[in-house]
Amino acid sequence: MEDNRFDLCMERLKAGDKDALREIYTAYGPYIFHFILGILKSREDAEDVTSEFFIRLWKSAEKYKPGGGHKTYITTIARNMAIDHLRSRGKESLIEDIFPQNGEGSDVYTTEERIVAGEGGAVGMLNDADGGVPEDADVTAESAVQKVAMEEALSKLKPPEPQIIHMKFALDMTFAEIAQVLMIPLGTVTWKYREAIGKLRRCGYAF
Amino acid sequence: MPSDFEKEYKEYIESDMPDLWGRIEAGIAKEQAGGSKTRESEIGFTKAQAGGRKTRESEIGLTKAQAVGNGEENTITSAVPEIQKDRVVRWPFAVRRIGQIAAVAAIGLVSLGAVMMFSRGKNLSTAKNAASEAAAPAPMEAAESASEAAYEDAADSWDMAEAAADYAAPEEAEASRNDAAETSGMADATYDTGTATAAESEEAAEYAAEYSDAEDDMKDAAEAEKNEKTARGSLMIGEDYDPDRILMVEKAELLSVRELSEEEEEDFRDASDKEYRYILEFRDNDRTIRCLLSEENAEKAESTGRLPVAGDACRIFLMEIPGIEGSDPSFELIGFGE
Repeated sequence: MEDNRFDLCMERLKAGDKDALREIYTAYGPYIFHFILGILKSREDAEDVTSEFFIRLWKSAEKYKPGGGHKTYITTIARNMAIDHLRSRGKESLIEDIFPQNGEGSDVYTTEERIVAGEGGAVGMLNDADGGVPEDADVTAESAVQKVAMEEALSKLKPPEPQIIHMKFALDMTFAEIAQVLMIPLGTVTWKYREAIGKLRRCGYAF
Repeated sequence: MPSDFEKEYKEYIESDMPDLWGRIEAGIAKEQAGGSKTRESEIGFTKAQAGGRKTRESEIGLTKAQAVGNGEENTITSAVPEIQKDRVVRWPFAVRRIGQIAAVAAIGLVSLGAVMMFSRGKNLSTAKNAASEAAAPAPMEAAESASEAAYEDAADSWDMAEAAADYAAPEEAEASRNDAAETSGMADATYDTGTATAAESEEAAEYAAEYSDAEDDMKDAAEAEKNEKTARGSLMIGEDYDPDRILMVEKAELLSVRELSEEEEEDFRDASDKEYRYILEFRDNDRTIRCLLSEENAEKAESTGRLPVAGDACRIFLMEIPGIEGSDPSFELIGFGE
């Protein structure tokens, strides 16, 4: 979405047009969700915070100042909300560390676990509703393999590399914008970017 | 065969998204229905900014007054239970702190009593007795007063936190834009000169900070991005370059300059580094060094038959190439220095 299109959506949001929010959600929902997921490492929490993010966008539409770069704006809000959420969960995490619940409540699984569980992962993609093999099984199997490979590759990255890669490739943000959102020097961003690229290249990806 | 990361990453992101629109719509509907709650937090924010302390009762009164003033009688009934519910949530904060606050208050009262007794010229034993007497009822009184104070503090903190959370993101975004102006200003200075000193960078940062307009900030950032590739080496030196990666060359003898083969390109180049397309090989005393080189410096080296610096002694700033640590050439040249 271009800046002026986003600004127009925010103008419509000010007037209470819910369709404008839907448009922003369609354009950025997956990207914001994965950006937050990268920070929180919990799908359940990421879903909560992503929902809150769009509600806050709706509530704070009147405060939005156009012309400042909307990608920086939305990712900054998303980052702040995710960090606030982490802080609010700090005590709970401490309790969970002390009293682990045998994996219950944690929804960060290894790729293999997700495949075995079939929870929207590779197996879920391979099997149809009846548990049989769908007609376009070749295409689906390829997607499943790609998904597994991608998850494996992303698991090699260390913070803030996933955020940098996400903002660079998914949101097409500049290094300067990324530095602005993460509040780290531009040189550090490019350095981390290069390290991340190297790791992904070793996993078989081309750039 | 290597697969295209950008394409596959976007596909992965888009395929792995839960449907949250229903929840968002429900959240908005709830916000719309409970409009008075928003006003409540806004009032809290205003009062907190003005430095005024408030009780929940006065806030409820104000919310009621606003709701009635706006003809939203129904909102009152929905707002009051919410506030009462919030109160239940806040009590644990006060309760948790009662013990600590009561202890501090009791110690304070005992100390005060003792000091007063001493000041009246009484002896120590009398003072001790008086202090003991004073200390006996103190915990109860302290607990009550501390409980009230803690409750008010908790209520204020909660409102401030909520209101601040509503406002935090745009403000931080604004602050971040200013930071970016500073960063880009520093980057510009470093890019332009390649050898900018710290003082010059600071001046550039101050100059850039004067731009409060967001558009100018973003233009600066875009300019910095544009020049990023050219100036990356200087940045690394200026900000977080590892001094161990500086190679001291005493007497360089150029052996060869050649363009990367396709196979080598595959190994050494990445998306951010397309200008380093040449390999320079030179001998320094008893060691042979190979490193990557930009086209401009390669031409300079080829035409002069020397390293692209004045003189044979120089410093070479090296960056490790991810994935090929320890191999030869294991470093990438990112800049020369006298």
